[in-house]
Formats: sequence, C-alpha cells, structure tokens
Amino acid sequence: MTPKRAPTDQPGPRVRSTPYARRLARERGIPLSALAGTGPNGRVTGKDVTDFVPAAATAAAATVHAPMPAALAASVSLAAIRDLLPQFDDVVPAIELVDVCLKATAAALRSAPDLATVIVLDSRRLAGLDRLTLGAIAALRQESDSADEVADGGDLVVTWIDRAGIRPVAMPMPEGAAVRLVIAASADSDRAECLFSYDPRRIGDSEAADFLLAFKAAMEIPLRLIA
Amino acid sequence: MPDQARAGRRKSRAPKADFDRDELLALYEKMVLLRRFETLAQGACRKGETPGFFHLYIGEEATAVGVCANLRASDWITSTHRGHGHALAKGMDPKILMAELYGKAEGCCGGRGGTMHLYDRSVGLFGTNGIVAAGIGHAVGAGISARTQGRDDIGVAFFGDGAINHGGFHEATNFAGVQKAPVVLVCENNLYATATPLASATLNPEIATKAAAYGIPGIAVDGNDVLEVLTVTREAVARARRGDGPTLIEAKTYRTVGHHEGDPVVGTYRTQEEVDLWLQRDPITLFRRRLTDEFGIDAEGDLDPIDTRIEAVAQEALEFARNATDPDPATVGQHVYAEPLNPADALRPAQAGATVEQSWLDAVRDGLAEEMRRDPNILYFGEGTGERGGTFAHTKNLYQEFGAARMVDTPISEQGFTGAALGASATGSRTVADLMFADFMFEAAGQIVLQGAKLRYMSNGQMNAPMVVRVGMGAVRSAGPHHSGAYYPMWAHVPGLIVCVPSNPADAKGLMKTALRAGDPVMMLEPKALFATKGEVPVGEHLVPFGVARIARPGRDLTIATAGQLVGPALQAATTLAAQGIEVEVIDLRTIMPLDVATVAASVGRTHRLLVVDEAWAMCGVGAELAQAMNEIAYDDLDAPVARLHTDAMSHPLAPSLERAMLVDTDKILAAARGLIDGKAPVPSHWRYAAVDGAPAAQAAPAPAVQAAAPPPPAPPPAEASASNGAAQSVAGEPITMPFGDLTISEGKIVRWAKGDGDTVEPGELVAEIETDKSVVEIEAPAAGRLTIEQQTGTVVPMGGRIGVVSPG
Repeated sequence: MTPKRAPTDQPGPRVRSTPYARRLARERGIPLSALAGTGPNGRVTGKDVTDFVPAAATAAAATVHAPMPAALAASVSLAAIRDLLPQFDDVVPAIELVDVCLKATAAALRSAPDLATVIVLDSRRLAGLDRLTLGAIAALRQESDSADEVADGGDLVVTWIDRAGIRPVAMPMPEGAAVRLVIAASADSDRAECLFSYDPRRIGDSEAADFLLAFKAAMEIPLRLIA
Repeated sequence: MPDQARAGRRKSRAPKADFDRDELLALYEKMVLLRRFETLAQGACRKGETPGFFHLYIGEEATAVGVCANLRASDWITSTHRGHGHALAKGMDPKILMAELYGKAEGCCGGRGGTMHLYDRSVGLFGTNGIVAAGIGHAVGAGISARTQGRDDIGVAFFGDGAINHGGFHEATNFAGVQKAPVVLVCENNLYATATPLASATLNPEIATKAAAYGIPGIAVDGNDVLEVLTVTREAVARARRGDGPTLIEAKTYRTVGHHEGDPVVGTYRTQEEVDLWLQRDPITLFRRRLTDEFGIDAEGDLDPIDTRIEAVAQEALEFARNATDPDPATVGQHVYAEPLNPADALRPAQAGATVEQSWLDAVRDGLAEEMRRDPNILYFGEGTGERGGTFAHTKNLYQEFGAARMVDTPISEQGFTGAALGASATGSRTVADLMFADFMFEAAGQIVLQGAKLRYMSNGQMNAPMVVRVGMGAVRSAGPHHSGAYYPMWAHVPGLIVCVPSNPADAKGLMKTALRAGDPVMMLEPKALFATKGEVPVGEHLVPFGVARIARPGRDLTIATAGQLVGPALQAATTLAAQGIEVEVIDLRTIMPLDVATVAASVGRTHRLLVVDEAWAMCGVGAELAQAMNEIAYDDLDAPVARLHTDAMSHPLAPSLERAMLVDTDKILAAARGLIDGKAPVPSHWRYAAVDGAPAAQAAPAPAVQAAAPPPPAPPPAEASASNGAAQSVAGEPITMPFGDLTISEGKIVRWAKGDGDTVEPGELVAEIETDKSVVEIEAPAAGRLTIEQQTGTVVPMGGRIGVVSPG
C-alpha cells in the first residue's frame, strides 16, 4: 500500500521546516518549497508561512481571483405558484416553475437596477425578461441554441437546481459575474431554497437584502408578475 | 552448626500445665497445615504450574505457629521472603494464598503480589517481603499507629538471621526501643542467609544478645518447640500490649529444604549430617511425640483425623488455585495510584477571598497544624522536629501544641523511621517522615521506592501508604555536595509516588494539606532557598490539587515551564524580555508527578516555543520528559526545538564561584530564551558523548558576563536597611554586621541595642540582639572604639547587612 502524500509533502530536496510551519503550510495549501526558511539552517518557521505572499498574487490576485462573495439566503413559499401554474396548462411551450423564477428575478431587478441588467441562465444571457410574459420567457428559455456566453460585471447569474429538500449555503461566484442567485426547488416542492451571492466590494448588504426580499415577495404573490 | 540443634534438645521451658487440650490440638493442626500446604506448593512449583519462585517454610513451622497463636486479627505482622507459613499462621485462607502463588485473580492480591508480596488486611498480614529487613519498620509503625489510635494492638515483625546485619533491623529496633513501641521482633535464626553462615557474617552470632545494644529485652528460644515459642512470645506480647516496649525474640530453627525451591537441600554450605540432625528435630514430629507422650493425646484418635482433614484442606486449596482465573490484562493499570488521585477536598474550586502575607515556614506550619487538629491520628517523625522545632525552625511550636507522642523526635536513622512512618500510615495513622534534606532521602530510598510506592499495587489495592516524606530541597548559598541536591526526577520515575515542588508559601501550604488527605505517598520537596520568602496565603481552608500547573505569567512568544525556586528567576527573565518585546509565558508546574503536560501543551499551542527551566539535573529529567511529551501531544505546534536548562551535571561544589557556574540563574534563562526565539536550543553536555554535532565541548550555557562579588541573597534586601547603607559607610572603622548563619535565614530584626550611640565598646562586648526566624543572635563588638549605630531597633536587616560601626579612638 502506498502511503498517501500530504499536500505539502512533495518530491524533491527535503525542505527543513518546523512542525508548526508544516501545519500552517498544510492548512493554507502553500507548498513548503515555495517558502524561504529564515530559521537556523534555512529552516522554514511558522513566521515564514504567516508572512508568505504568493509572488503572482500581488499584482494579479485582484483581477484574476474574485474575493470571497457575501451571501444571503431565503426560503420562499411556492404555495401560490403551485395554485397558479395549472391555470396555464394550455400554453405551449409549457410554463414551468423556473420561468416564474426568472420573471420574479427580473421583476426584483427592476427595483434594483444597479445590481445587474442581464440575467444569465445556463450560460445564456437573457435580456429584458421583465417585459416578457411567462409564456414568452418559457419559449425563450426553451430555444434550442445554447450559446456559451461569458457573463460580465453587469450580469446576474441564475442557477437552477431541480431538487427539493436542498438548501444551498455556499456557491462560488462565476468568473466575471457580480451577483448570483441559486434556487433549489422542484415542481412538486412546497418551498424554494434560495442563496443570493454578491461581491461585497460592489454591492451593499442592504441593497442585496432588498433585492432578495423583492424576489421573495414576487414569488409568494405571483399574481403581481402578470399584472 | 549442630550446636544449635543440640542446644534445642534441652528440656522445654514451657510447663505442661499452661495448655489445654483444644489449644494444643489447634497448634498441631496449624503446623500440619503449614507443612502440607508448603509440600503441595513445592510440587506445583516443580511441575512448573506456578510463575516465579518460592522460598518454603518447611522445618520452621513451630515459630510462626507459636508466635501467631498469641495474636489477634487486629495485630499486624510483617514477614519475609519465606512467608507462606506466617500468612497461614496469621489466618489467611489457604485457598486465596495458593491462588496467589499461582498468580490468579482469586489470590489474596489478585495475582499482583505473589509469594514474597502477600498482603491480607482482614487477618493483619502486612506483607511478606522480598527485601531483607524491610518489614521490621512497618511492624514498628503499625504498633505505634495502634497506640496512637488508643488500641492495644501490636506489630510483630518476622525476619531472618540475614537481616540482623542490615541497617533496616538496627534502625527499626532502635527506634522501637526509644519509642517503647508495642512491638515484638521475631528473628527466625535458621543459621544461613541464603548460603552465608551466620557465624561468618557476624562475630556475635547470639542474636538475642543484640537486644542489649538497644536497651530492650532479648530472649533466645528453641524455634522448633512450638510450646516454648508460644510461651516466650506470650510474655513479649503482653509486655508490648502493656506499653512496656519491644522484645527481641531469637527463634533458633532450621529450614530442611533449600533456600528456594530448586536450590539443593544441602548445597555447598552445609552437610547432609547437619540436615539429618535437624530432621530428627522436625518440629511437627517433636510436637506430635510430646502430645502423645506428655499430654496423653491419642495419635490415632485425635491426631490422625487432623492430618486427614488438613490434607483435604490443602488439596482443596491446590484445586482452587488450579481452577482459578488469570487476571484480566485490561486491569494491569489498576491500583497504581488512588482513584481519583486527588482527595475531593482539593478539587473544590478555590474561593477568591482574603489573603494574609506569611512566610513560607509559617504557612506550611499552619497547614500541618490545621491537618493535625482535623485528624488526631496524624504523626510527625523527624530529626529534631519535636521539641527543638526543626533544623529550619520549620516545626516551631507544633511540639507545644501536639506533644511528644505526635511530634516524634527520631534518631538519625532515616530508613528506620521512614519504614515506621510507612507502617503507621498504612494502618490508620498518617505520618510525615521529615528527612530534613532531599539528599538524605536516599538513606530511606528502599522504603520509599520498594515499599511505599508499590504497596497499593502489590496488595491489589487493599493497602496504601499515605505518608508524606518532607525535605528541604535544592541549592542555597554553598550548602555543598550533601545538602544541596534536588533529585526529584528520580522519585517521579517511580510509579506510585507523588512529587511536589512548590514555589511559594500558598502552594506549599496547600500542597501539604492535600498531601495529608491524599491516598498515596507524597514526596514534598520544599526549596529551602525559599524558606525565608513571604507570600500571600489564602485565609482559611486552602488546598492545592496535585497535577495542576499554575500560569505564573501569561505570554505569547515563548513558554517557560519551571518549578520551585526557579520560578522566581524565570519571572525575572520574563520581565526583562518583555521590555524587549518578547512576551514569555511562565508555567509553575507545582507537582512533578503528576505532571500537568496539558497546561504546557496548551501554552505551546499559543507560543509554539518551550523552554524547560529546572533545578534538578538534565539526564532523564523534567526537560527530557516535557520535551518528549510535546513531541507526543503538541508536535504540530512546535516552531522550535524544546529547550532545557538544568543545573549542570555535577556535584554541588562549595566554592561560590563554582556553585554559581553550575546553577541556573536569570542570565542563563535570558540567554536560553533569546536563543530559542531564534530557533536554537542550548545543547547540554551531560551525555558525556563527545561526538554530538555542534555541541560545545563542555559549556552548556554561556556564563554570565559579569559575576557578582558575592552570591545574591535569596530575597532582595529590605529597602529600609539597604537604603541607608550608602550614608552609613561614610563612617570609618570596623563595621558591625548581621552575621551569616543558617542556610535558610536571610534576614533578622534588631530587637535591642545593648549599647548606645557614641558609647565606647570593647572587643567581644555585647552590643545588639537580632532576632531571626530561628533564634536570637547576640552581636558582639568587632573591635575597641566608639560605637555608631546605623540601624535602629526594629529594623529588619539582611544577612551580612551593616548595622553599625566601631571607630577607633
């Protein structure tokens, strides 16, 4: 049996280091070989790890890596939507729960125009949803083309998880996006569990909270969406 | 050699009328039991059924049976390596004895003790013993213990002729005599100590006459004549119960088997003719003949049925042992220490309350007195600790309150009175054995390590030795090679011992009080350099638990773990380093065993660096132990090697310059701490191994840059005395100083000037009196001339401090 290598235990010349330094490096995912040891005999010490700044990171980190997003969660009742949808049985193509969600997202964005202007679903940029009927949204969504479009800073990325009983708690921000709404629900579930992630450098917490509450209100009183 | 056999042929001293028939038959039955039991044990040993090896009692039955016939279950006997007979004679169930010989769970000690370590509290068997003469002191202590508790029970020590040239015998016998202890000392003289003939081991082989050396009665008896043994012991036992003191009985007897099972019967040291002669005087054969010939007892009708019944009893014991169960290996760790180790009182959370400033000695004295009031059976044995109040004045006034019977002044015989302290402690009178200096503990080391520490385990938890061994410990002002040592890692090495090294008066008192309520032997090592120090001590009940370290100063950069008198220098070093931006956490371990590795590891989790500063030597010491503990439980927290700083590995020299060089001081701590901040541990040299990479040849730590002209006093001189020294020294003449005196005194108070300022004085004339913790010191004029008083009455003066001057003319 081959013993598992620790992440920092890499082949090559042995790096002298203290047990504490090894622990810190392991916890931070920094290879020991990247560290310059300032202890006796070039030993890497704990301070060498805590003082370590990745060379590439200094300039590029800000643009290449998004910061840790902030996130707010909400649990949305689907009772009213489940009453509403059967009344559109004859619409073709069929209106689904996700279409209502897209419409509610677009409606909520209306009151927060600084947040985003375009909604992205499945790598497709969907503009102007707030002016479309539910049927039109369903038709647009179900168009066969699946362009692989890259989000930009003005996009809200919607992720649809077609499962009941899941509560999303941490979802990374897609590259380039500023806000993300993750909705976990299925056609027969009572509630949708939603996570709204945003770049805290660009969007204030109260602004984000207002958007999420507007979305929740639209979902729970869906008649407003067709008013 | 056959002389003794022939001597025993004279007419018995035991008159016929003294015995009734039932008593005689009971004696016969017991002797037959001893013989049959040993014969079956011999067979089992030869078949390889029993672990270990046996020393059989065959041939000596009359002695154990004759002595024990006079005893109660509440009397304690101590025995020897040849002790199965004593155990049975005192009443142990043959079944649990045989099971113990087989190492079985059903044995009297659950298989933990075995043949030479048999204990049975229910019948008063305080151990057979693998160490020659070790049990004698226990019997003396057990007797004193009974007397203390107001009972007339006694202690009886069995020992062989091999013991009578051993200090354990001389010390315990002398102590028993001087204490008039309720004890009977029974020497079973079987002529050979293993294979060494008595006559070649002493020029006075008449053992009973040795009693004269101790001023107690000594009497020799035919040890093969049960009635003679019984009669002589009866008087000795009555004398002991009356409070008239101990008696030495020499029972002349013979083992008709080899020294141990497997050893040839004759061997190289005796002849078959001699063995045959003694076989003719077999105690059971002799007694059986007397019973039929003199007492009209019927061999067939009375004695044969006893033989038959005892045969069944012995066989039943053998079967019981064979069918008994092996002890569960999962229990191997039980009965090392009391469970829980700390008395409940010590674990109550301390109440934050009022404190009072007290000196070390006063605080501990208070603790002792409180506990002695609480438990009227506590005794205190020590050299000069009674009426004299102790070498360090450390028992001052206790004699006045508790009297000579409890504050016992002992001869200088550490082995003897420590053995007695153990015996008393195990039988209800917890005893402090004050050995004065830590160096002297080795005089009692056998009692501490082989007896006290193991008693709970050997006896399977039936017995324990909650004694306190109290000593002044450590270096102070050139006390020299025999009065300066610490040595506590040696005691901490021994499972079963608790080792305390307090650093301040409150802890010293609290640990002493806990020790006097705990269940195990406690080594209380008080740094004598701190005896003159003062500290805040909680008012009222104050106990400090064992195994709980104290964070003396918090810090984030480096942990120093230390104890005793080095806590002070460690704190000083921490203060210096703090000024340089290095925050040191100082941990006062308080007890070395149990060792609070958790507190040290938690601290290392914060500071990532550990320096152990310890007064004992390094080899296999506290530094080594804590370093390895951190390897085991805090490895990922170490950002530097664990460093250690110990007293250099050599005897304590007298010369102050040499002593300073070998002791740990603040400068050495500072150097080691700074090095460790840079990731470097000092490399010591105590291994005497030249090839250590990077190790300097001999120097463990840099020598202090500047050496003071005089050794620093243990406590800073009081301000009022030192402040005026500058002015005082302007007067020319012969200075009058507070003389250096006792090791542990650092200051004194001027209670009186016998002469006035400006008076003319003659050399040697009394000029002042200074009171120290121990005595009033008279100060004489050092020269003729005019006296100038520089320190007024009531001033506290450090030792060596100037109080006046005599100017010529």
